[in-house]
Amino acid sequence: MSDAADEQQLVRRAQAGEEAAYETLVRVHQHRVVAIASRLLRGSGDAEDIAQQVFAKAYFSLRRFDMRSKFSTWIYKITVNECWNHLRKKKARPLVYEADLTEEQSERFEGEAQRSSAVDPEESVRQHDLAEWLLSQVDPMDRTMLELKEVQGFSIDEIAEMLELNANTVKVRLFRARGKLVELYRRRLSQSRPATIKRG
Amino acid sequence: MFAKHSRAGACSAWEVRLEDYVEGRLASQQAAEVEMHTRVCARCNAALDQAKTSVGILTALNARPLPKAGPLFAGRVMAAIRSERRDQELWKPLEIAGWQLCWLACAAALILAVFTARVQLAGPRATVNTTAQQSQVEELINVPVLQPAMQDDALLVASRESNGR
Repeated sequence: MSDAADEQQLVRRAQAGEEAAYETLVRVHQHRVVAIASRLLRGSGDAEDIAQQVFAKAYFSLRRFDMRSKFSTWIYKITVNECWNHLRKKKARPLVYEADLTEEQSERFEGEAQRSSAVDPEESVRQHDLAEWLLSQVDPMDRTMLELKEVQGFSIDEIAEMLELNANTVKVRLFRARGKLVELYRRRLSQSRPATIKRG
Repeated sequence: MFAKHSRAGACSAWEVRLEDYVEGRLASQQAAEVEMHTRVCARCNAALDQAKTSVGILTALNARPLPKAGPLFAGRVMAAIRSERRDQELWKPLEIAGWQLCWLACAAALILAVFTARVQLAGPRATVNTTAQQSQVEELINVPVLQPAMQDDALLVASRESNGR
């Protein structure tokens, strides 16, 4: 039997009130849910608590789950909503990472940034912090999309389902969000560059 | 004819395909079309360049492993669910009783409202009746008072009648 069929079977058993089946579903999806919550809450330490709330909420709404989407997509959608609600309640300001990069370090992102396999752990931390800072500066919806796409590796269709948007809308927003992120990055880069005096 | 451009700068009609191109999801024919377009459209070319750079920047986030749930996480979740279900089971009868009381109170209020309305509607008729009865009483009370002379005559007639004379 396929994984999807197995999952459907587990969901049906959980809907019928079998606790063990739901526990299996929790075990299957727990790491992903915690990872999403942790990224969206920007490592605030509440990720496990939120993930716990997500699974409890899903359990008590399980009868309303009609299997039109995958259980995993449904639970990730609840996770995204719970994280947004949590941030709204806390009125959390995005964390600002003070990554004072040198020009060379910043330039490493440009062009060859795709490789990003920094060997130096300190360098890796700095690049990570810069990426975090840039993400913290963009609109929450754009940030969520970029996180889900680039960090969590969800497909456009999955993101569209999670955020209840059309797939083309997600693509356009993602494409624009990428542009905004790079604009911010370049602005930061130009600020960190020392003024050079041209001598004639 | 001028192409519509998004705020980011790319042609609006090409944004979806540009994103697909960045993701590597286009067939070779469509990818070639995008490449041809970006060769002639500076704005789309710049936007595509930005999108590619963003992939590189965000790759840095993958350098750190994603956090995982602790070993006791699933157990804690199930314990929390059981506790919440117990609470719900405890409060459920009270909740039902509360709703029943609420419905009863609503029904009582409705009956009271209907009764009050009926009494108020019946009120003016009762007043009319009372007024009619009052006027009858007044008529009876207002019988003309007999004058002393007339009283004597009446007594005379009465005594004659009683004596048979």
